[in-house]
Amino acid sequence: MPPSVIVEIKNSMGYFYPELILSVTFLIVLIAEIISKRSSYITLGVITILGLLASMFAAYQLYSMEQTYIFFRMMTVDHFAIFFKLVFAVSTILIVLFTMNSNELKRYDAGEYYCLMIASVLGMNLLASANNLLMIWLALELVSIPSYLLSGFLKEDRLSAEASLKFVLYGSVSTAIMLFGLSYLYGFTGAYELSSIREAIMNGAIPSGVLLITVSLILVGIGYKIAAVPFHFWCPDVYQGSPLVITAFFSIGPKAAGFALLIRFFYGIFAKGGPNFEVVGNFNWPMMMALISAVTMTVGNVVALWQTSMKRMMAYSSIAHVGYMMMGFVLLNSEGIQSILFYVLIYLVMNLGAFLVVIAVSSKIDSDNLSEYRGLMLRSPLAASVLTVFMLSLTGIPSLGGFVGKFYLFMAAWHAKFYWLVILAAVNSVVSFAYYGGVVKRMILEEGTVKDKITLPRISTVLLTVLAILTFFMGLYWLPFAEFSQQSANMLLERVSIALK
Amino acid sequence: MTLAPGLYHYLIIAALLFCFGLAAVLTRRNGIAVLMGIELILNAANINFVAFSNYVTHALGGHVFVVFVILLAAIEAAVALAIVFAIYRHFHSVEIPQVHEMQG
Amino acid sequence: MEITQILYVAGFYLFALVTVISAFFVVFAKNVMRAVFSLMFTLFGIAGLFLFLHADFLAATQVLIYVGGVLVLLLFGIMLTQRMVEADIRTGRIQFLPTMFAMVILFGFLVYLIFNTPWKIQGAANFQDSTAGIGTLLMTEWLLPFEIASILLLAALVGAVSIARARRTVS
Repeated sequence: MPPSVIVEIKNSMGYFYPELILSVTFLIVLIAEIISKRSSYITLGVITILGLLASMFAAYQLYSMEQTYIFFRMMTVDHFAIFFKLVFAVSTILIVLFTMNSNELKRYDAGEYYCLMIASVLGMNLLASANNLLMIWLALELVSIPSYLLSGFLKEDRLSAEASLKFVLYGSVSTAIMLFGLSYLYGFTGAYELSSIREAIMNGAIPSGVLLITVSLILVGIGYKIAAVPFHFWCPDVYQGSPLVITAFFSIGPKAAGFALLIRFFYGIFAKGGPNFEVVGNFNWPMMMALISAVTMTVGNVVALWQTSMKRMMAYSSIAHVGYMMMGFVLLNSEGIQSILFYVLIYLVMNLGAFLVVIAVSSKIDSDNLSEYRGLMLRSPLAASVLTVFMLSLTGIPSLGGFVGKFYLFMAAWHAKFYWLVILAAVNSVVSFAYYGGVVKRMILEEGTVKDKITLPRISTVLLTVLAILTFFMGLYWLPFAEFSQQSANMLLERVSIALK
Repeated sequence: MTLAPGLYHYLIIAALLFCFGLAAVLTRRNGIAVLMGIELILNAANINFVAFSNYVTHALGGHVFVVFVILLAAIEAAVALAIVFAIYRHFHSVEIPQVHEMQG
Repeated sequence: MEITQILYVAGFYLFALVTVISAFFVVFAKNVMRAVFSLMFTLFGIAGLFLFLHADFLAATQVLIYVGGVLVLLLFGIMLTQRMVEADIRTGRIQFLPTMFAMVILFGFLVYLIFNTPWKIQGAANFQDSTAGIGTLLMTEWLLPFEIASILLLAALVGAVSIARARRTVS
């Protein structure tokens, strides 16, 4: 090997510790599963959490290093990427804690479960930092393939098998279509890295129609991952069929990773370096993004109205929230990206909180059936009040985190002069109160048939209280979170402008 | 376009394969037939990469990408087939319209 | 034209026709077994096209892994998931005509793309030793994807075996 290669690899390793730690955890869990006589969700879960905490710590250390490209410009390490690494680690730690409390999975092997989850998180980390077309595609597959397997993990359950079949077939199709688009991008420019592609696009004269077709092909893959319309069809079935904890996992991790990819990809290839999303080519990208946002949030909210299954309702709710988040994507300026990142933080807290309530009560009631929530306030005041907080936050009631997050997104779209989009989003939020509020109404005002008390495990109680307090906190004193998002968004923009000079 | 093979010939073949693959995915009822459509799409992308590598960039980067695509196609086929077996155990059929219990 | 030129062009069109016509049968053959065997011909045809594109390593890899691995896997899948009594496995088509129409339009878009892009064509390359070149690249520039792919392989292996094997409860 030429010495320059060895030098490059040695230098890059210093930035790669979070992913290295995740890989090592993956192997440790696998080996622990093999050598132990009984697989235990608790022991292996603790190992997984330790690994995730270590990778979080290593990611935090990355803040003190300078931002750079590593591994021959395969990956970027900047604050934008570190933000997402931390988000993924936190959400997965919470999911692992949920798993240790849930009863659904007790019959199946824990080691394989955690291995798949760690592999998926590793893929998400790589996806947030990827700078090279192959890395993007490979990381996307690394996120997706364990997800397909995890969604089918309840081997005795028909719905789980059906969910995983639909997920794997349509997921593979969408990544294959994306690959086809990537191949044309390679052909236009002869380059793999996002910055080289942008240069080649700006220098060459590629007709805008051609670019449109190519980017549309690529958007098929990304749109599938974040479940934006018209690529959302897998979402309700997969959410309903998968184990409850896995549904919670899907609702935050892969979606945030998809958004990281979307922002980095679009900004990396198309930004001209100004404060706004000035794009190469004549096509009206902001309008197309706004249309996707509008359709996604409307479809999500409207179809959620007549759901009777909690999991399907949450699936359509997450589709709607992706629609809201895409409002920040309309102009891809600093304000827009910051609002998306901020909403990711808030959505993590309130969404996972809602799922935790559903998981915690699932041992006593059939928590997928919405009518089972009747009278929950009497049976478990803690669960019902906390779920009320999360549901109201998801709607966007003021003084809760969800309202602040939506406010930032609305402001970003308003300043971009997409007034109709903001009004549509406001109407949608009001509509969403019909189904979020419906859950609240059932819990508090209606009476259920069974009246015995439900006691939650202690970990669930602690976690729920923390998450609910956080939701209030984010609603009343959101400045630290907003600044965190601002800084991460700015770092991305700065690096792109530096690369352009 | 001349009769002798050039870049355009390969790109058209790849585009044809892509359309066939997508048609297979959208119209076939059998889960494994959908998988075959996916393989067609992946192969179409492969032809693109190799053709560009040969005519446009004169570098082996395209070939390396294709190695990874072939690898991933094999992985996806294995995973999809494992899931298809699981489906077959439950439903005794791999026809997609019959495997549809969830509504809404 | 000399005889080698004629053979070259004829060979190319032969492989191209084999590929495209087999792909047609993959989509439209009612019998899934026939579709799988058509896919085999398509994959062989593509391997031949790779040879015309000076990609010798890829042609060999295509035959080894795609035909020898993926196709055999698909065949196993079909044989194990059909009732063996019926030899003729009927698969129908849903919403046939609109989809064909959409595919023709899509093909039109792609042809538009192909002919309107200013490709920077430099003439045919002549890779001297593509296997060695690819090997070097995998160990130097493309090392990270290489290692990540190995983790992906391991995770997929673990998961696929876990899903596919018969139910076994944990003691």
